[in-house]
Amino acid sequence: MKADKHLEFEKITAKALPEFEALSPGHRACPGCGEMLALRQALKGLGPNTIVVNATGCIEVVSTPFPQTAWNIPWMHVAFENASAVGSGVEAARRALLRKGRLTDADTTIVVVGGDGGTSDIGFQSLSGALERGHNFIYLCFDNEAYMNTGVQRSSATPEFAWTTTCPLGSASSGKTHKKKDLPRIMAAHDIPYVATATPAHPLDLMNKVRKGAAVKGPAFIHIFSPCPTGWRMPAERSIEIAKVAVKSNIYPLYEVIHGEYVVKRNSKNPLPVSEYFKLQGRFKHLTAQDVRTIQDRVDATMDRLLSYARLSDDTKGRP
Amino acid sequence: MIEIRFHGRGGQGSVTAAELVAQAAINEGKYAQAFPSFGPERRGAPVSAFLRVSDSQIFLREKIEAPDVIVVLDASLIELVDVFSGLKAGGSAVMNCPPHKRKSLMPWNESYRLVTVDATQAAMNNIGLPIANTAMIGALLKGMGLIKLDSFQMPLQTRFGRLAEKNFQSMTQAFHDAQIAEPSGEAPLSSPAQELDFSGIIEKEALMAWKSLALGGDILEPGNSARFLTGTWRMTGKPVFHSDACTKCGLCRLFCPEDAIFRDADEQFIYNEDYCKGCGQCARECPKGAITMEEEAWV
Amino acid sequence: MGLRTGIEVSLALAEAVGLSRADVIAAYPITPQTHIVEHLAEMVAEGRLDAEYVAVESEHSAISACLGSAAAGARTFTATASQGLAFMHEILFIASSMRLPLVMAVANRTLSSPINILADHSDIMPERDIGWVQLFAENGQEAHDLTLQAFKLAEDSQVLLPVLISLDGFFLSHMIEPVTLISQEEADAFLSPCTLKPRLDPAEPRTLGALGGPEVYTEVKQQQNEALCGAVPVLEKIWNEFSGQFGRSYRSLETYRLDNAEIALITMGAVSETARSSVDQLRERGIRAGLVRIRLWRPFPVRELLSSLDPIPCIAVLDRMLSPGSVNGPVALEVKSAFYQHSRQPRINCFVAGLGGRELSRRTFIEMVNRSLAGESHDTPSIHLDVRHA
Repeated sequence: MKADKHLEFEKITAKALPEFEALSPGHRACPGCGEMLALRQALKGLGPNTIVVNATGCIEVVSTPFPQTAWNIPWMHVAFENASAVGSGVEAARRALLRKGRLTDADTTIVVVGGDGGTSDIGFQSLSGALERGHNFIYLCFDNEAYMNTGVQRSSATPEFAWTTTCPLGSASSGKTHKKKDLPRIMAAHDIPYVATATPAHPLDLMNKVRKGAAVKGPAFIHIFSPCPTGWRMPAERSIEIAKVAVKSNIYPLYEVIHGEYVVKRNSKNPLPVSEYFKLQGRFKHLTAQDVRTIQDRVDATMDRLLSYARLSDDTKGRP
Repeated sequence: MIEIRFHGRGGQGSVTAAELVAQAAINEGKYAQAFPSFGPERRGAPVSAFLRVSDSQIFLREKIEAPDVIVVLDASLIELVDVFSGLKAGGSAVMNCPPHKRKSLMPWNESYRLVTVDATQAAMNNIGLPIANTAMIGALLKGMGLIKLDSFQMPLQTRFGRLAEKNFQSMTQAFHDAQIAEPSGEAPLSSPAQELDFSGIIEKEALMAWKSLALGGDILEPGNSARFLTGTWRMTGKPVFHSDACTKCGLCRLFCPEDAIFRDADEQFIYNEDYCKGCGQCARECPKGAITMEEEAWV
Repeated sequence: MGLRTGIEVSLALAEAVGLSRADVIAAYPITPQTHIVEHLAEMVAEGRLDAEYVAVESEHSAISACLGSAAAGARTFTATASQGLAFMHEILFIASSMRLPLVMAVANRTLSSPINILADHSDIMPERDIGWVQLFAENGQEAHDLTLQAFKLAEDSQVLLPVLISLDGFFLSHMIEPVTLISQEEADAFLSPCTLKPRLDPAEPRTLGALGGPEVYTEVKQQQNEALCGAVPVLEKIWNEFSGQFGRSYRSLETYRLDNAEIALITMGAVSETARSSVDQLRERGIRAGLVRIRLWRPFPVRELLSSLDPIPCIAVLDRMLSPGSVNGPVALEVKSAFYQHSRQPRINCFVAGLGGRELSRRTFIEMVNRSLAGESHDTPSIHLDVRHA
């Protein structure tokens, strides 16, 4: 809680949930889509005075097939790799127009939305550039760990050993051979005011992190674990459950980096074994006991490192 | 040449069925084409696939507008999509349909030949999953001849590997179970389907003249996707809310990707059947077990 | 009154952007465009121009930021060249199709490989179908004037399209020459403050850039093309107004000594001035040569071209880009296409020359004329004028 002192924002509580919905029903996402669920929750946390710039991907496709749109707030899509640059332009323009008196509402939040492909791969450069330039927007990365819009191809966010259509299983392959890119940590390395991880299974946490992102001056990056029943080969009803297990097993730790300080909350003292996470998903069903041990070791080491960052952040408090 | 249109839902394997028939036909030395319709729809949404089979080379690469045969993998689609659209008079409709629902199809039997089979049951019996696409191929073969059952061994093997045999059994069972009803009367001018309301279907409103488009193709009406009723995608049942057990915590509403759960006038949580896709997350996550997923009556 | 001054053309162009009171400039430096954006950054830094200078990390992001800026209702400018323009390629189409008005200067330079920083039209010609209004400046005065005009055109409610101005790299962009700079007062009288309505407005939420299937894609493209073709009368009106205020007149193409001509050269960009001098030399030698210089490349001024070339029997077109495997270069193809089914069929030769900074001098144009008049058939492929074969 200490780190929250650096950051003032209006907290959402279970008793006072905003009624606002940024999206109308009728979008074409798969049943049980964790990404659309997380998007709905995140934008609930912001309210109607929001502009969204969306990278190409599932969200863009399922929410805007002409002549219908699910969006109740201004929304713009240009291409796949450039959402952060488009958002930079929107933000810069509004800054100029406010200064020149042609706009009066300074409270509009600009949100840039991308999937893991649009964020950690093809859109990585434009995002990094925008963060370095300090544009005042929130970037929401909905990470479903593969290119789902084009039919489940690997991305740099696909976890090690997972099956996708471009890292298929075969006598010469047992899924993805490379580790998942640690995007939140790379984003934190840009020294922006706010970075957080979140999941739709923790909706209040997610909404409040988005609110914190809106409250800081400068860029905020929120990485959202977005279960995809279709691509992960699991039943539609399991999206929330799998996100809970991911957090409880430390596969996906929830944390924040506030003005450079790591804050780790909700991590369990007795985490579930990672096998609990794998067994729910078809994309991991080929894993050997050795594979699971490899991942368990990695997850433990990553968690240790994260906690040491958090301790370090804590220790340095109050130093001149 | 025979032209066949498959109707199913995203994820049910309509495209795979069309491809398998094409491969089997090609293996017999015939000519065939199989192709999907492309769009933004996801799992559960009505989709179609197309198939041409011919003894001579096919010189057509256009959609099938007037099929000789339709294959409907999911009988609930009849209410949602004009599956009979363009079907030639006297043409065949191969329908997946449990025996007790067969009667409801009879109005179409006036003008069309009906081939009915409980393909979902055949799939359950043989594969253990309600994936009816290969069984529907069995019914198609029974109704139309076209290709020998045995010609599917190799395409099934390529496609399904160790599940090939079970799929072949499912196909074979459906082949034997399928019932054929020849058209009973004169071909009427309109199909009964035309009297149904297709208000949830996008094609009806999509065409606009360029002069009536907003600048750059912007969509000016916020949230008008609410006119697209994704409730038609439900395949696996609907949520039933048990108010006696409900503590009104509201988690179900927060966990609905569709925003399809709301409170009624009596402050009870209920679901919106127009949009609920039947994912079942609300039932699974309700801390009090106050929501259950139940099968829907098929009209 | 404007001030006649010696100034580098890049700076004269940047000054016009300043005069327009642009709100947002997003750009990535590339030779030979750098002096334009450096000067703009300087104007912003000095407080002479109240704008956001977004120092993006690539040309792709430069144009993308411009789209966001225009959608937010700001007067928007960028500049690029060569590889940078090619890197922008996909977004250029989206800008026009989404009807987002912005202005871009392109300091024409060739495309790699080999990597080469010098001028030709290899960068801009492959972009001829992007749906933008495309203008070519001949000299510093034009670069200055066209830039101010471009904002007025782009933001006109009948147009609402992006507009680009090409200027030849180095021989134009880096030249110091006399330019009568428009004063801020004059500029304000000519170009009103930006009144673009923000398309991204929480008070009136729209969806921009939706997924458009076969039901609507064609109609969006039709709307875009109608707007582009409809930009011509608006541009003519702007040119009339400009001429009334400043006394400098502009047309979609300029002609020189076409009266009684036996041959006409067709050129674009700054080398047209060299071509003009060659025409004088040829006329002195008794060869009745003339010149058509195309200023408005898109939409292509077919009618003006046909009427200006009537009744000249022989035409020599300069293409500063090699279109490999094509019958001719892009300019000659356009000219030939204009004459197809025309009652009069002049001989048209396409000369490809001046690639990657290879010198274009009066000799070049004189040779084009000589070879055309010597009877090179009009159905021959392009003549590669300055290739060293041995």
